[in-house]
Amino acid sequence: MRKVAIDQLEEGMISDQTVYNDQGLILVASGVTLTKFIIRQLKNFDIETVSVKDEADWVLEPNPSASPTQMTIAAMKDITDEIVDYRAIGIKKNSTAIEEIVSSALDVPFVQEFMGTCVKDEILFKHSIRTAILSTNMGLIKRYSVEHLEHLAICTLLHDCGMESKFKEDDIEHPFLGFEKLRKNLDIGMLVALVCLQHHEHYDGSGFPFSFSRTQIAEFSSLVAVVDYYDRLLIKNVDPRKAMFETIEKKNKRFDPNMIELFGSTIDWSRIFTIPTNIS
Amino acid sequence: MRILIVDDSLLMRTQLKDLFSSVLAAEFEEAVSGIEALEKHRAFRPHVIILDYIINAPDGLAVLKILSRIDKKVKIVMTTTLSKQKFIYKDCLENGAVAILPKPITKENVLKIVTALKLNG
Repeated sequence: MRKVAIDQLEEGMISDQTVYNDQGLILVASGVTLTKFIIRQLKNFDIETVSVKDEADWVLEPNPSASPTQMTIAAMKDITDEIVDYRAIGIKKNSTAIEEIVSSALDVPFVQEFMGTCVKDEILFKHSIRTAILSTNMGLIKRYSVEHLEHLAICTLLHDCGMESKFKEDDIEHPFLGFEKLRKNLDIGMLVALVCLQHHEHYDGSGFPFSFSRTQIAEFSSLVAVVDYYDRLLIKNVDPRKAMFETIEKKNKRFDPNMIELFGSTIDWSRIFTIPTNIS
Repeated sequence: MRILIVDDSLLMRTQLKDLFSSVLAAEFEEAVSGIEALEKHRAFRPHVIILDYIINAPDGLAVLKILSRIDKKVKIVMTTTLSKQKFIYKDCLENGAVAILPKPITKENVLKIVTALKLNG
């Protein structure tokens, strides 16, 4: 580790400290590779020196982030099979694209960090991955651009990051806590923070924490709200068919009608009566 | 003084910038949507935000609610064409806006707001 003056920072150096500004916002997290943009940000906030890793300690140190990523990708394969076999949601033809998009979302250091901490709680870990698969599938059907799809995957993976790595069914604090956490991290786009804040808002304004409705809710937030609700029903062991109908029923009330139509179009209706009941 | 102008129309943003810079010295930044407004609020750390009521989701009122919860210092002025509707005044002022600037925007109203908020002092 060595300290480097701000003028001598170069692209590709790896920071070895978390740098905050005077208001406590994270400018760059430890272990992040510096880019032109980050260096410019640091200059804007009058940071004088930054500790960076020497090339030698970077080579010797095993990459600590590799394992959550690998675990996530491994879990993703199982979850994809489970969705295809037991949920009657048609994701098979998109499965390669979904895997690529979710994997590229895992390149974001904060996503790796979150998956690393929530892996201890199986429900939260699987919930994050399953919702990410379902939302990316919906995004593919809606023909979002690749850039948007990656963003959507990041949003969905992190939507419950306010839960402090333990899944709680009736936690009404987590949207705002997660929003604050994500907002203070300059690596994370504001849309990701906003989806975290708004994923429990309802179309008719009956949700929390702000009781936003219609035009006050971002498009990705209303998409994530649908898959989040559907997956929460499955976590409660509701029959997959019943979970689908219960979600669709809430069109125009809890959910944006466009998003419910999109969700409906992912269902493989020809298989819906052949799937077994009550799979935990 | 840093001022963030949020409006989806380029014409309106330019007009607001011209009017405000004619009465006070400030640095300006612009945003066209609710998400960009939140993004610029984080990066630019404005003292004042001129926020349009009708912008792409999340709309002006939603951005106002979020910002007044996370930033107690920033002064938010709402602009709206719907200024004849009383409930909009109520909504904005109850949720933390310091003033409402009716459209079309006049230099007189801008001056009033700048004086009332002591922005040029």
